[in-house]
Amino acid sequence: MTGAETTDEPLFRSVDWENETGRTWSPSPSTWFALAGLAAIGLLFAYDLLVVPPNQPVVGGWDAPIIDWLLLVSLVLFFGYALLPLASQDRTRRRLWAQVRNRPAVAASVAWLVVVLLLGTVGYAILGKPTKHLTIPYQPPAFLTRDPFLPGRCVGAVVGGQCHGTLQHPLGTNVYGEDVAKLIVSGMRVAVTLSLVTATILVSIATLVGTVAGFVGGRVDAILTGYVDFQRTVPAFLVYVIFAFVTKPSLLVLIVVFGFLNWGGIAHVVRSEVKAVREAGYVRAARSAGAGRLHVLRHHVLPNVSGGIAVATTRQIATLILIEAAISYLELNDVMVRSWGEIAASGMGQWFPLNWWVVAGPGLALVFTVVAVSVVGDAIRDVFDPRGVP
Amino acid sequence: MTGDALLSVEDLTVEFDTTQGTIRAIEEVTFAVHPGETVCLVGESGSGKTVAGETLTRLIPTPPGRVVDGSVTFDGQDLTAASERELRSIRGNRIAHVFQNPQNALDPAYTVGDQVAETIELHRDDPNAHERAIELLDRVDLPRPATAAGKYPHELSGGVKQRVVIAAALAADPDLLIADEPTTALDVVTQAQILRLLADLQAERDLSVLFVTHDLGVVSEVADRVVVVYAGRVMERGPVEDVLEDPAHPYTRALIASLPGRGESMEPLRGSFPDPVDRPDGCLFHPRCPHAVEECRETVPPEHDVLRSRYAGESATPNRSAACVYYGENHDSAELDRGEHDATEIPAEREGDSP
Repeated sequence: MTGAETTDEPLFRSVDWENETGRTWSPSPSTWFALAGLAAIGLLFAYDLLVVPPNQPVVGGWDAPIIDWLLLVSLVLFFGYALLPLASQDRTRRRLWAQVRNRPAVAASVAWLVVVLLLGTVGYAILGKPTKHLTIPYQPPAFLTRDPFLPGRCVGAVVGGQCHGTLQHPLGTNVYGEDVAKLIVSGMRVAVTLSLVTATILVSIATLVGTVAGFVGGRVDAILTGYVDFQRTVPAFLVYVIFAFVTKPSLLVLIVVFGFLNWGGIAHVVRSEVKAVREAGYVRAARSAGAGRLHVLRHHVLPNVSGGIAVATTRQIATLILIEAAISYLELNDVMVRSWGEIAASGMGQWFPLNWWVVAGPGLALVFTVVAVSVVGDAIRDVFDPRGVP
Repeated sequence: MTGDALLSVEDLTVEFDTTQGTIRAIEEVTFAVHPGETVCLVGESGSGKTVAGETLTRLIPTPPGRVVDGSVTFDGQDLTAASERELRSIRGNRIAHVFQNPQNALDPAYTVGDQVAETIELHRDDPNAHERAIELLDRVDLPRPATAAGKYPHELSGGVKQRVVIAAALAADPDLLIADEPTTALDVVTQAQILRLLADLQAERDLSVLFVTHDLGVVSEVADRVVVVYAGRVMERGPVEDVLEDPAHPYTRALIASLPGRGESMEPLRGSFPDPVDRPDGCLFHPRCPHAVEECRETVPPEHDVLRSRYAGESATPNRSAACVYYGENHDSAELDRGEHDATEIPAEREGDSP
């Protein structure tokens, strides 16, 4: 730089550009957050691996299995790259707020998903796993009665020969006397893990492949698109079933199989949006102002395709939650993972439909979640629409 | 006048590979821009004028576009030989662009203040980039610039957006501004304001401007010199008063005659623009030229000096030329003033327009 900067310099001044050095990498707040979070997880993981003996809890009573580590990583990335930009950018925050205020369905969906996210992560850690009380199966939900044919002693009052539910088990209990409300919370944990870890895998691969294909174009595009089309002919469901038979059914296998096989649709969306944005006037303007390809990609292409990525991902997640329920119903799942699908399926035995609350509770939670994810996905589309209301 | 040119383009030829074949977008285009001067590249849609403007800093997509021949010299440096890195430090910094449509020239994801600051930040580490962006928005006459800086493009009108685009273009203090139809998408009143603003900024900063337009009305307002382009070739060049008041080339004459509102009835150009894949031999304009003779069909006419000027009578005017056989040694250019030649038959209208 030549000369000191003073306020009364002319507006347009000459600068010795020759002596200007190249600009250094400046991470965004999202990247800072992600790096800090991942570093903390890395330290904790190293501590668990090197210091804590195997099969001993790391913190409190928590001996983290691999899937919990993946959930932690996904949570950090979800907060850093989805919630933080949404909340820190003036425009997106304003529009999101407008959506929540003007559309009751969006407000209810966001509220439900926040509940699921909080209970599924923090709440689960506090409440703990539901415990079995084999003597009190099939307690009816509070304020309701149950059919006298159902076995088990009645915790609540028996009025006129009918067993009444209690507030101790507001949503009743299942065949093992487990509290259905606690089971639903444990199902939230599974849903959050399934959604966030799979979404992290899907979004990472789809964004990378879609962006490279759309931005580089030419032969690279042809090869990547060809591969995506080929991969989309491989049904993830079938691959999961094969894995479930060969190894043993597990949530991790489900997540890995669906995460690594189902990103094709999102990649297609990313690719076509990148292709459109690449030709946009503002990309040409940025290049004419001296921006390099990487700058254009980071600052103009990705922000403008992120809405499309979010929408396509929410669609996938909604479907995946339903697929998990279907897999549970087919008993191809890990029965130790108490997902909503598993809880509902386990209730559809001998006594169904007399024990309807065992199925209805997790079933409704499943339906609410799938609908809420779709509604929020649609709201996000409107939030990112450049021509939408401010 | 060639010695001190800021930008000099020589014999620039650019081709695009398309599925229909190779299109020659511009052919042997030569012109120069001197410090502080405004040169207008004038031509119809598809004449290659935009390609000419974008090739200078190699903004054209490569492939399919490529520079086949010629050189672009800017401030002593050959830009056709420059590396991408060198070009990046020139774009925006020394040669800035303003494009036609302000509607999509601004990124919907950022405030306009951020976008003006971006040009500054691309070329230097300036912690005060945002304050400077607001100063620039003030300079391009945005009301309440500090508030305006926080607005998103879709909250602004087309005219205001174009002011923002101009502020962004000038943010890093360029020497040359390439303005590609900057007023075409705007209404007449806004157009006049933007032209006025550009003229003021140019005078203030001794800026050179390469103004690309099809609008002869705009040309008459802004240009010092004019280069008329048809189908990628230069047809005529000269000082603006000479070219507009006393056009030498039959194409320029036809172009001016096709304008409405000059007292006489307007005469649209006959025939249609040449198919870019299958261009006519000889003079590119001959199929539509009322004065075409056999020679026009066979040879590409070189640029002949036009030895007349509205102001200097018959004396030689420097830098005035027309690529037309009538200005060659064996012809009398006065013939152009007498009606049509019978030698030409007009070919049937061809399907397919220019790209």
